[in-house]
Amino acid sequence: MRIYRKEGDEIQLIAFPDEHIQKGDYLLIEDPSLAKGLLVQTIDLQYANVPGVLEDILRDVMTDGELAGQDIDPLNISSEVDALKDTRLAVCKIRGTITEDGGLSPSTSWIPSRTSSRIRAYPINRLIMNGGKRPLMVGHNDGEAVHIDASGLDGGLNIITGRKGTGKSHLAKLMLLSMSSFGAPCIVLDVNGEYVNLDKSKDGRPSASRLLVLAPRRGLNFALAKLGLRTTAGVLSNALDLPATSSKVFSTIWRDLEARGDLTLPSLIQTVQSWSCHDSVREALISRLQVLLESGLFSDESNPLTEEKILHAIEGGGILVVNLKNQSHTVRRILVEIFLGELTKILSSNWLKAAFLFAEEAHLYLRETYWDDIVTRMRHIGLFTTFITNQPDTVQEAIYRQADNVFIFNFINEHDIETIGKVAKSDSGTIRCLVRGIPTRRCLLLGNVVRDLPMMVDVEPLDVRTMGETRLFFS
Amino acid sequence: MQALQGSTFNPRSVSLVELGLNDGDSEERLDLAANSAAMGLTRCPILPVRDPAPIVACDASSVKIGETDSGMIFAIRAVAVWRQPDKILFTRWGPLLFHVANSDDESNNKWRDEESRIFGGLSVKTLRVLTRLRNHVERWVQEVLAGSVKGGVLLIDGSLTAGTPDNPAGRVNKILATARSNNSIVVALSKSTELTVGGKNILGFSDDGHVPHLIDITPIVEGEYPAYPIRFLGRVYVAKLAADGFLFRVDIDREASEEQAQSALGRVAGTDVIFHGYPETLRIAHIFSTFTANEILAIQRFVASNHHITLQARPSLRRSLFGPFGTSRYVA
Repeated sequence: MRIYRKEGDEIQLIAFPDEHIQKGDYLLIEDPSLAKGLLVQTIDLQYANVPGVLEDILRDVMTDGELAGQDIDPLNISSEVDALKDTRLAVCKIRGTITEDGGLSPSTSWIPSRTSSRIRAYPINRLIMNGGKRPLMVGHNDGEAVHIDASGLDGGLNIITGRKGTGKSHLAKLMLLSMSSFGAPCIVLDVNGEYVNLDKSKDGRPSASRLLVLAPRRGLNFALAKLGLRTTAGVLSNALDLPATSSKVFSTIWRDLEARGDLTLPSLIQTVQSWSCHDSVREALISRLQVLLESGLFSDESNPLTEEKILHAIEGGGILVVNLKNQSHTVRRILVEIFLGELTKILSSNWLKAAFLFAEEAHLYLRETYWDDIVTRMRHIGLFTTFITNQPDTVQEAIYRQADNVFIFNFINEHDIETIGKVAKSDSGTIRCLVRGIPTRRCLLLGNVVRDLPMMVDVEPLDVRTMGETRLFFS
Repeated sequence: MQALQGSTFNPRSVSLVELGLNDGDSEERLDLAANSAAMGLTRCPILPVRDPAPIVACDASSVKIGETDSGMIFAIRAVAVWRQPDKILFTRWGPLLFHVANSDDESNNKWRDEESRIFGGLSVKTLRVLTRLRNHVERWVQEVLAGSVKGGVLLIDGSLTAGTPDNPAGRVNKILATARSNNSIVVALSKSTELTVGGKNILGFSDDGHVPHLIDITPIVEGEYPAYPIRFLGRVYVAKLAADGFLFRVDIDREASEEQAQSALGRVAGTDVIFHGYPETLRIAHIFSTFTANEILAIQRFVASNHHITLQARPSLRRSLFGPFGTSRYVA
């Protein structure tokens, strides 16, 4: 390979056909006289505009039809011409400088010699791990195993995005299992019920993972008295859109029942029905309390899911899956509202240092105001969220700007690529070039986990019942 | 070429805008203002004839690849094209590489720069060696075709004028005789010529007719040039092979009769596709023999990698001093 030219933070290299190079590869341009090297990443591959190539191709086209013949080429120059025709131009982004001691410096204020520099492939795995103690194997790059330091996911906001069927949930599961193996408490909001068998291998054998699956009427049961006024009022206001006037009446009734020690959903409904208030307020309260009753989430208030039980399930590396499959939009919103309320209580009380929340298609159940909450308040109390979505425009722009790690699978739609280009962890040019046309299960890693060195990875297969594959009719 | 192992090599610069490269070809301006009728020349119509008889064309090209410490490297390629009733076949020989060493005579070297400027960076001696090499390869292909084509027309690029050391008359005569013995006829076409009649280029003859025709200018041409050393081995015509085509100088074996000459041109006009009045087989032969810039780069790469020669581009003093005004088509 040879340096062709440099423009801004891009450097263009000429690569001959026998030189292996693909999009995403890291190369080191070593200048022997300066004893340092420029670390660059290939973001695009084009044909080199070799002079006369058009004429050569036109001449080849002429021989495709009624022209046939033979070349008596004793020196086999035609193979050299073919090599020139296939010569590629590698467009590379400058990522930093590798110093004499092998360290990475962000400095890019120099350029290597065009004549004496040597260009070679540079494995960045060592730079990415940087001596980390918790290697999380995400997959392979060009046959080499790629590990990221799980600590890079700690305290962060993560996004996994890509087209349907490209491997997002697969990566989320791989991360979940690895995080739990490092003792991290994990909670999954599972819209499609595809995380419920993570503790079983493909052939049905149980795995070492600690998994608890909860669903309405299957362990997911709450008691009003345990939830408290703040969480219950939050559910009515945020999930069921109770007007502010009715909320005030509700608070009064709640305190009355609490004083009497009779705080159950049926007694609450009964009290509201006989409470002296405007009919419209009563009607508003009754209709919403009826929804709570029919949700099945308060079917046995004598044996509710408590903070202690949640804590027990996830503490020391357990995975708690909240199965939202086959639940209505309203029930999902109620459930998530309650669950996030309970988690906030646990984390605010310092019963748990932190927890990792994996939220699939969060726009289906997360209210508007929670997006900001997750980015700001919940991060500070130790709830670190990973959003998984195939509709990048459903995630608010602020989330992209503040995301610490982004895992991007294939996109072909311009609008989608435009949306994810807002990620602050990389330039839009890199994302645009690398994401387009990458195969299924190949992922672009951005952010802290790769020390801001964008990296392509073929995600590792999993020996678990993933149940995330699309159900097909013709197979 | 083997002797070059380990030496340095100044590769020829190849510009992006310089697509087709062929050092062996030079075109000249045509003056179309002369009046042929005033000279008493008669125009004979060419009657296009569809004929399955073979039409074969050949051409050769040479190009400078670069300079070494001791000389220059050139590539030569020759092409033969056969028109058959249902398809066109070609055979391409080369590129063949030659290293032409500089003269050892010091007195020659001091004039080299001056000569180089005139002859595309080549000294007179080098240019003559190159011309002789290319002619040799081209005549070899013509000999092969003359001996293998039966009852056809052999189209060659250039003329049937011979008698110089670079182009000996004996060899051209042999090609014509071989073709004749195989019932074939040799037709040479020139896109440009230095032949003038009455001070005017022969391709400047009046072109007011819209039908294919030819004008025999042999007596006039022979009258204007001495019989020795230049020899016209063919009858010289100005011909237009298509109604919308250009005029070309056409030389046809002088041993062939006038009827045979007209018949041969009729077969070419009727059978070979005429592009701007130029035979398609000859056009293909030219296109396939011409070196592209890409091929020059490939040969330079081949020379560097197979002969372990270091590519070392020398700065062009002319370009350094004059920039874009310092180049001309004569500067390699």
